[in-house]
Amino acid sequence: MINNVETLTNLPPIVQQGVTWFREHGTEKSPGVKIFSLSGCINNPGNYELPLGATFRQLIYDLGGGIPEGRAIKAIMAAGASSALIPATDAALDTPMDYESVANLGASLGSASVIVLDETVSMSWLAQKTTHFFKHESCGKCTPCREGTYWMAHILDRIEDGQASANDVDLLFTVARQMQNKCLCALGEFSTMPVVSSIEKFRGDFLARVDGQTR
Amino acid sequence: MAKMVTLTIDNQPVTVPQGTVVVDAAKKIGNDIPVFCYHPKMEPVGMCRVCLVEIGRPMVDRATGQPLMNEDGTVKVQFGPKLETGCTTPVSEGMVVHTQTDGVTAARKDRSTSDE
Repeated sequence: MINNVETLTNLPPIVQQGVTWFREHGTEKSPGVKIFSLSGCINNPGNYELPLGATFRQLIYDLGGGIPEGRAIKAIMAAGASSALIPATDAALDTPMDYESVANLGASLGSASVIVLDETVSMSWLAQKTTHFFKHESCGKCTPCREGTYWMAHILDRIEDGQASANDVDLLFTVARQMQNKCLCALGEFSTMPVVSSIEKFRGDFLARVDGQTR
Repeated sequence: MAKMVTLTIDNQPVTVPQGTVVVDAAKKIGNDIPVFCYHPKMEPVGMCRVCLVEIGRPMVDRATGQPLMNEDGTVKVQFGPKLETGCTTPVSEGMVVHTQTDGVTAARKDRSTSDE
């Protein structure tokens, strides 16, 4: 059995105060507490231990102090760099952070490393950053991940340099989709999540860069 | 003599010794699952992902250990959420393998040059 630190920190209070007490926190299907690691465009980044089922709004605005300079929130990544983007609508902000509710938003709670993205963030820039991270982390053993992260990074560099056409955005989407469900481990699968979801939900950010348009 | 295992590949039954991998079982009945990084004289590694196929296994009632049946009397088969590599997956009794479905051919094909 493999346990991470977060799992082990849950054990002493469960042993001391019992399972019933632990299950009083959180939701029916996601009981207990979780350490939410809050980062990105946020006034008070940090680790916050909350019962599962607290809302994004509570974490980001009540505890995190909102976005610097009062800017508007644009999207949330709930599981770090490997998350699908959640457009930050009022409904999304009021969604309870438990495994089932976040899955209903087409994302996953995963590690609960919540990254907040405000209106100044271009999603093509974000996809470029996450893809370069995964390209660097890829062990290169299986073809879809080794080649996929390499080519996604190249296309994204072209897009961010203003050297791409709208066809390149479709090509990027195709490459990412073609990687899905074929990789040896989860790293390759995760690398496609920000790319696919950012093109699906914020295609305009990519199109704003194509055909010679730069920042 | 090794224990023999019977499985079905593209609706064709085949019986091979236990421990055989799916691509070798398919080859026995003339079904060439494409391989690239697999070589019979080397340990299979499943790196290149060219041999990805759909693999289903018979469902078993966890409480009784009995196979679960469909209403028509055939055994229920459960397919995994992902394609599996034929070169690293050993055969098991009652396994069902699909090598020519849309999902498998689309996974193999370079979709950037097609309409998809």
